[in-house]
Amino acid sequence: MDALYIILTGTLVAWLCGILGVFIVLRKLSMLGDAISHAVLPGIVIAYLISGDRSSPLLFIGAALFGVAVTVLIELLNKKASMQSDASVGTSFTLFFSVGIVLVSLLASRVDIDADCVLHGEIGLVPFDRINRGGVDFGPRQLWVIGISFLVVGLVLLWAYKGLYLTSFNSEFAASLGVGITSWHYLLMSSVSLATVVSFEAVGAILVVGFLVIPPASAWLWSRRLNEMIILTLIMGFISAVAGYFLAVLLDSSIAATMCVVALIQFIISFLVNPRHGVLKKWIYKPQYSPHKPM
Amino acid sequence: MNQSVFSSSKVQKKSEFVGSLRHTFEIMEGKSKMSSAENAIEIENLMVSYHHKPVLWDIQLSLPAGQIIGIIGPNGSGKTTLLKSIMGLLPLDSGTVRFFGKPIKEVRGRLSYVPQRESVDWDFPANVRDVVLMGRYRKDNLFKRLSKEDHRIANEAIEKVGLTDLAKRQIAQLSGGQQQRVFIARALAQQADIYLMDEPFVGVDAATEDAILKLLAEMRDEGKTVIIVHHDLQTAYSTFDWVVLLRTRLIASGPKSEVFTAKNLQNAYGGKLSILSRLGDILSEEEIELGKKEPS
Repeated sequence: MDALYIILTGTLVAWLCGILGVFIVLRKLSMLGDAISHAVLPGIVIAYLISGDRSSPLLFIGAALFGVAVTVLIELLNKKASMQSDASVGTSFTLFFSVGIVLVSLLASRVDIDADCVLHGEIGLVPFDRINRGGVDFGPRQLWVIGISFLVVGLVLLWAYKGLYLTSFNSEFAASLGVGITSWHYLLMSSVSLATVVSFEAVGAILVVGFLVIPPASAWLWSRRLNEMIILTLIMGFISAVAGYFLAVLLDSSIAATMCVVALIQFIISFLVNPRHGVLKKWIYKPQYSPHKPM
Repeated sequence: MNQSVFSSSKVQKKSEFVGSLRHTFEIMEGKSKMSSAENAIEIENLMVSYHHKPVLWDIQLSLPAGQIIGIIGPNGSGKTTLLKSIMGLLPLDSGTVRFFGKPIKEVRGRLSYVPQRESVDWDFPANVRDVVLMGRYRKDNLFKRLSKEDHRIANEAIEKVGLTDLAKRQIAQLSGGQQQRVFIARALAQQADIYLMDEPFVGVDAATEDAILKLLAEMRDEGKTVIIVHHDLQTAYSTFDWVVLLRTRLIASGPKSEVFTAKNLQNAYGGKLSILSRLGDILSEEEIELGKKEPS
């Protein structure tokens, strides 16, 4: 039963991060996902300090605020201070993250969060932290949190599908229709912040980036349309969670890490054999079309 | 150099004065028909700068409806900036832009913007129809499903640019000319009255260029206004009805035969002799037309 809970949690983390990751990858913002996943830390610590409860919704709000704050800071450094975009990402999120780490160590006696847990997470502990109301066991708390988050984010994306599609493909054209591209950007960024917070207890702040980027990147290599890319991301996320769990049991290793390793194996296979950009495509496929066929 | 710019603005003011005087007479004589008197776009005191450097300086411009209009000038003369400022995609330092006498908020549905082909990632997971359907997206239907009518209009646009056979092909697998046609089809699907296109002929084969030109002429004949940023001076004369010559400031704007004078081109392109010498060829080829007055 514990195995099932772990696999289910892993799948939901992969799905939650994956559906957002599709748009992150398409908008070429993968490093921003990395930045957000680290920058939420001070928000979590401060919210925890105020609420004193690790399952308080205040944690999500704190995290979302800091996640959006770091994207604003990056934009500011990039646009106003004319800093290179990679330098502004590097500066901003390390600033937030280091402040978070300092807070954690300063308040170690009062805050039940340790830096190691933040960085690496432990999905293996998910089955032991249960919701218990009036003697009735409702199952693992994390599973609920991540499940509900997936549902909410999934519904938001369904509702926002056309807008995100349009602004991801051609933001200038979207702007010419009077569509506010900034609000779409921040809708996505706050969703990523939320996904990061609910996932990091399970998989840690570092590997959550893997879940955000790797399955969508692999799916992108195969997909001709956006819906294909999303479905493939979900399938690959599921395979990562299941195969990752059993690989961890086999190797007696960190479960989140093996899930990421499986995702990477899928990426390497996709990279080698996909029909569009695949390194080995020459040997696998017969040429069916020439991309620059004259009309 | 300062002097030449100065004198050009003097000339421009004079010609503007004469132009407006002529216009006043036309109105007085009741000659000016409603359709020709109505300007598609009116720009006043437009100033745009980038990092405190002026890109567009005090642009005063009226563009007539129902014409194919070319925005021409050397590299860095502010052509694309002008197009983006008209569409409200850039913050203006000053100035107003009005379409059929109205601000952009009231007429957005009548405008269509075609960005440079290089401005998007063509490896995006979308097929031809997906992109053309975006031409049916509106600010107020973003959260609704597209209607059957929307799909029909999109298919019609795809047919017009001759991509029906490739409607389900991923855009990454198209040639440059085909990709440009996808953008044109998306613009057609918008069913606008004013089309603003940024370099639609770059990286396009000759056959596609001809096909696009034919489409543009059809659109003009339906009374649409087509405004095109164009960098190739050699083809400009044969492509456009009306020409806007730009070099941060407005050098000239008017029917092509009035704008393509040696003096205007000298003002726009300065001492760039290689271009000027090619221009000499063009001008001599078009000599007969230049002598005549543009039929109105």
